[in-house]
Amino acid sequence: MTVRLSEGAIAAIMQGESVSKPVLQVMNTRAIATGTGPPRYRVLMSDGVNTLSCEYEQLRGAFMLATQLNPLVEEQRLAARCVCQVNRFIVNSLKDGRRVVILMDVNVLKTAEEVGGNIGNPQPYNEGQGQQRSAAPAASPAPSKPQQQNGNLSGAGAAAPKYHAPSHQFGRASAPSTVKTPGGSQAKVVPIASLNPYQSKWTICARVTQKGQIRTWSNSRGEGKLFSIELVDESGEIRATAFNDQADKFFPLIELNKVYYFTKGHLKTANKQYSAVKNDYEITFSNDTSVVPCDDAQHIPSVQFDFVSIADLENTPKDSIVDVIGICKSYEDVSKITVKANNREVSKRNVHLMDTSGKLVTATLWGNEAEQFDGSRQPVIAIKGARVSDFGGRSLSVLSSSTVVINPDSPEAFKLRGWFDSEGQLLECTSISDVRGGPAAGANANWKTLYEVKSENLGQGDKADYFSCVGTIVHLRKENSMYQACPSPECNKKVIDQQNGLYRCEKCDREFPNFKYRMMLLVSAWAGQGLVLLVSAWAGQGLVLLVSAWAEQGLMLLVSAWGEQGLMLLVSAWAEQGLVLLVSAWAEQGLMLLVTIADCVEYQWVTCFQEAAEFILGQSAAFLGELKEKNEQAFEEVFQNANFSTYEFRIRVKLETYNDESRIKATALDVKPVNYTEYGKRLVASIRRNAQLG
Amino acid sequence: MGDIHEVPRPRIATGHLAQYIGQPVCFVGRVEKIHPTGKFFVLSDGLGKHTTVELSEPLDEEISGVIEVVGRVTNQATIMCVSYVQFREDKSPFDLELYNEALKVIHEFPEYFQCGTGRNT
Repeated sequence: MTVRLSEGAIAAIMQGESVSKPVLQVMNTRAIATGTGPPRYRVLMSDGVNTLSCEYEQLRGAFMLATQLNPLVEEQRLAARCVCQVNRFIVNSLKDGRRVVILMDVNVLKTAEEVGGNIGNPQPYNEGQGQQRSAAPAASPAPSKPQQQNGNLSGAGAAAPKYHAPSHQFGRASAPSTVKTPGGSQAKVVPIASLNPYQSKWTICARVTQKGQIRTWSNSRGEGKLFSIELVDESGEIRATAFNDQADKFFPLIELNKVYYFTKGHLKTANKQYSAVKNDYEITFSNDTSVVPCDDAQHIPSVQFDFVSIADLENTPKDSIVDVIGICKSYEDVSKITVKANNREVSKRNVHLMDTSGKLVTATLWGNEAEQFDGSRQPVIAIKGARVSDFGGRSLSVLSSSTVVINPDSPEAFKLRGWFDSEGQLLECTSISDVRGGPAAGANANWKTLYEVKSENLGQGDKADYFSCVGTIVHLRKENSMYQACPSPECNKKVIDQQNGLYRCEKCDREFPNFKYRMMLLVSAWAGQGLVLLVSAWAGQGLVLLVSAWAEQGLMLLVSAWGEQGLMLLVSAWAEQGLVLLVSAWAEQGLMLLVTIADCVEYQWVTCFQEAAEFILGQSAAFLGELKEKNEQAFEEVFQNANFSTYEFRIRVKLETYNDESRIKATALDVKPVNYTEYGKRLVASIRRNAQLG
Repeated sequence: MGDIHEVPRPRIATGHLAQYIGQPVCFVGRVEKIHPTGKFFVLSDGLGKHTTVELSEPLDEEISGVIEVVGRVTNQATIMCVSYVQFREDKSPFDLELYNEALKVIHEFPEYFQCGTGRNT
């Protein structure tokens, strides 16, 4: 039931040959305003091999419908996709070489609904070259697809008189090509790389790889709005901006990732600080600019991403522009902040991306993108042109020139999705943005055992190192644990007792009748390597905590039972040197012997300041200060009670030099109760890994 | 059987019962059901497999949630309970799956957990 179109008919007509009753397919119809009188219809026809377009302004030729056939269009009988036979037509040759074919009598052979689609793969007819070129594949010796290359030159040169005269253009990389323009018209499509300010009439065929939001500005010189896009073709890329009226006109028409013919605009030197696009020039749309969709766009490269793995971002210099792709493992709520510079409120949202490297990075979205972001179901997010900042290590900021694509249709996205759904979501990731407060367990921590801290020489570089560990306090130094500090809220400097009831603070340069207590608690914490098998049972009788720890050096079996009578700590340790058996029983009445373990584990002195210290001791500094003065024994008890508690510590280590002596100083930034579930999981994973290493 | 508290009681899951017949063990599981007589109840381990625990005297209280039973494995691969402890889960729930992972490690590396598997020296 297929109708055969008269292939080659269009080329023949254009070349002046006579053609009898060609069967053609209508691709499109368009009404031309005529002022007075009936409308004229221009039709885009296809013979299965070529089309003769009616879209473009500068035509090579066109099909027009004689007015007596207007009803065919108005009654929808002649409509896009229908197939008709042209019984009679006239060809008018215009002075400038254009040919207009007027259809006088037409039979609709098959209606649009019957046909259903385009027949064949017709290419816009172009007089400059032979028929074969336009027919897509095959015999043509010249490079077929990227036809705008220099291969066409010879043919095109002769046929291109009508375009603007000077054929020696400034710095043109390659001559204009004549292919792929709708209707094979005068307008030559030039490569983006050849655009320059000395040329005002040009056409490019390019894909929109980035489309920014409409932005408004208001300053002393006036106000307005604009939006920018980035265009790419095989020769290069360029940025284009539309202002005010053009912004209004083109913003709804231009879509990301689609290909258009852009004609006529104003070229000027690029303002590199607004974009990373590699071109010395950029386009500004003018009143003459036209933007027309291009159907045949396979040769135009699509949005090019050049992804950097999140782990590699750690080595990327700050302020670089990168492309990243990752799964949005978690995201925060949108918040509004005020930009001090112009007192405007802007929305922002942090999202956390993770990829197969196991690293997590925080990316900040702004404005509309932040508000409309939906991170439910952990989508894949690809960002082109994000800026790397050194906030918290390494983070990403999405600029107005960046493109954010959610769940892109690309192989990398599918790979990530598959990886995440099977193993990725169970993986514990480390954040390179050091974000605190992320609920995802372990997402912000660099878990180390104290042994690893020493063997990896953390803190000995130029910068401080940060890590987390689970440690048990084995000693608290209560001497010099508190000092008298300046009572001013922001100042914590130690005050000098003037011995006359007044205390002087050097920093504030003031004297006070009082002071506040500040804690500086030195705690030695002990963490072992290996497995902690944890069963914690709270029963009516008391707590039974069973821990067996396995370190490379030896085994430690630890049971602490804590009943109503008191704590019993049973430890047996096997080290290479031998066995140490430790029992310490500590009841409410008093303290019994405490012995430290030798050899199998490392210990570390850590300084805990105010909040951490108060947390460990369970009392405020002010209360403790008073207790020290009034009831020494109770004061000591507070310290005893805190001993042997286990916490998660977030520690900062740094090499510090004092009077020619260098020491590693460790400070506790945060002390939290141990999340045993997460701890247990980390340990099991660690054991499995070590087991595999043999 | 007071002496059962003097010897190591390896921690096991339902799958190990057969290997420990006649031996003192420690079993942690979640209460699934209690027989109306109160003389036995069923616990499920971290893999969801069930073990029956028998008592010499019927229960004198309601038990629920995760409990730890110390007892001896009978010939029928049930556990004759000597003592039990109920885990309080008000502060945080007890992660039975993680416990099972730990059991796997203990049994896989008996050289490091010499009391853990009841095999001494």
